[in-house]
Amino acid sequence: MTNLTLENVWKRFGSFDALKHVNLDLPSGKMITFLGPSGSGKSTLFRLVAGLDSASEGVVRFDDTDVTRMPAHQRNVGMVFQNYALFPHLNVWENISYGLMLQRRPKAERRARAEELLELIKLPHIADRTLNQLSGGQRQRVAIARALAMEPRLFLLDEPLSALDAKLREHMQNELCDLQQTLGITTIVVTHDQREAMTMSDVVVVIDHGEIQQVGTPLEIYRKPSTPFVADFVGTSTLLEGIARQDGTFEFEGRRLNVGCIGEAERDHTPSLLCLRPEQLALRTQSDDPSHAIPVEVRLIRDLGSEIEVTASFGKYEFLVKEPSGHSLGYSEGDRLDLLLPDHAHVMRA
Amino acid sequence: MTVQSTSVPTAAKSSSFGRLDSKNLILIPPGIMLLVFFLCPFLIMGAVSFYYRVPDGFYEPDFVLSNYAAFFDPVFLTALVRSLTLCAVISVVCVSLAMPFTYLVSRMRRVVQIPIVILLLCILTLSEVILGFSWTILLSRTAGVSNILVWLGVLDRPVSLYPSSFAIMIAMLHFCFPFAVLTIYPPISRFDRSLPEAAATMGAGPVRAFFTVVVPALRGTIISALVLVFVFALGAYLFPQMLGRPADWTLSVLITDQAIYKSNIPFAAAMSVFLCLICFSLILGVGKLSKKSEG
Repeated sequence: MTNLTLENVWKRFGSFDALKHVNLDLPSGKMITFLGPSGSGKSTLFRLVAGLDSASEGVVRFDDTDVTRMPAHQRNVGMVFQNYALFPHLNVWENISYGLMLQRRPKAERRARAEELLELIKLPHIADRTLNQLSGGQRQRVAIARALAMEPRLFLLDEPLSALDAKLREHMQNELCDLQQTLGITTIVVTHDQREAMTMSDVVVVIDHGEIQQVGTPLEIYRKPSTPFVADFVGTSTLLEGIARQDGTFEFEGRRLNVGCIGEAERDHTPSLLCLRPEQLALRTQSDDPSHAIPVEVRLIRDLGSEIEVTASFGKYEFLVKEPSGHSLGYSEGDRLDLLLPDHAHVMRA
Repeated sequence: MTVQSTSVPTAAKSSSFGRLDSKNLILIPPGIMLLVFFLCPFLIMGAVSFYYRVPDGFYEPDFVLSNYAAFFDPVFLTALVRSLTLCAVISVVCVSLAMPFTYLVSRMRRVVQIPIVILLLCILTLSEVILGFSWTILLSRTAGVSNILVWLGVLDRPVSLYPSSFAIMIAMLHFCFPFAVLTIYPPISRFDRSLPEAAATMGAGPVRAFFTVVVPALRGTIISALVLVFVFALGAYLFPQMLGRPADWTLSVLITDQAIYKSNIPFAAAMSVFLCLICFSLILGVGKLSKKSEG
């Protein structure tokens, strides 16, 4: 159970700022995800927490201990590398008990601990196998067991599921969550897959261009994105440019849309963005309330079997609407319809 | 049935032969080279090693074992043991210096790595003769490093540090080091950086990570570097001659001595055959050993 704090952390590579002014206070015992596109700085931040890279500026704290200048081998973090980084010259149980070997613990104790961890990852009979006798999924579990062997303060996983196939990935997601809950260890997962972040984590940290965009629970991130980047990166959304009014209406292309604007955007003055998610929208042939709808043209209908994705457009804006599959829509591509807006929607600063 | 079952494999066989032929075509020129410049001289040497040496003369075709019998003379046995020990020490020292050196260099920035590699290649362009003579100057009484030691107050007066086995060793190390580094360099620069990092997250400092992860994971490379330097050192005959006393002479020097100064070609040939056999068995043995440890 470790509470991780970063204060005003910068990381520079030459003249390039990989991390800019990062402030984070992460709760202990939770599943935390660093989410961002590749090159966003999420891996840099992650390596900085592990101690594999050092911060150019700022302070990193585990609980109340300042670990900024502490090298990786003194931090006691357990890390699962993207390529697993298992030691090719050691077999499964020797890999898992490597940390104990460094502490010169007796062989019986090391073996017992390795067996215990293999039990935990549900692979009890592979202790004496060599690495090339393992499948990709098994290797990953062994890497997880190895990272947990020293009872680390933080459990770090770098893109843990990217190398697995879709079925196994879903399965491992659940297993990782279970494991985290059983152990109650502060866990940080780096990922670029927003679905993974949404399903696995208690707290999501969205990073882009070396800056923290938003920190919050998956639902907060989804429902109340604080920047256009977050709204766009997490899930699908359409952002309408307009002015949020004091009375809760939204002025857009000369219309006054009667949607209850929730959010911290400044009212009446500067332009803001109204964030509309597919599940908030519906298409009707005729709307009774013009202040609650936008006239759109149907562009594309894609039947995915489980649902139908309809793309409709209004000027430069494109909306995605999801309709249930199985019965006829009553309209086709090229038709002009009304897009029904929700009663409440999230607004943010442009 | 039988006709079918036999006809299928023959067809497959003939086609695979066809493929083999075109593929093996490229092996013909190097094969000829090996035959003419390696195998033939070796066979001639093998034949000469059984010839009869005419006292105070040359040799005549014959089949005698006396050349090999002379080899059990304690003088040559000690020379053999001395050569093998010297080369073993050189290869171990050389590789244990080259390993950490190459590892550190491979982790530096590219701008720093390239000049270092170029420098090593420069050393390779220097011949044994030039290296040997430069060490005779560096280790000499009048102009050598002992003058620096005198200036530093370590010694009272300059001394000559050669001829000695120490001088041979230093020059041989100088000569073999670039080979060792260049053998180790490609696998070490391809080496997965996340392995030492993983070791670090489990509590290994950089030095322990090097010895518990990098070295064992690269043991195949280390073994081949050891063998390379050993064989290389075994073949060097100028350094022991230039920098050593006759008591420090290695087998290669004795062979040269027998062949050129004592004109006992059959005996020199016998010793050469023996040296070759040692090298072959060593390479085969180590190859088997490293295969076993890897499996």
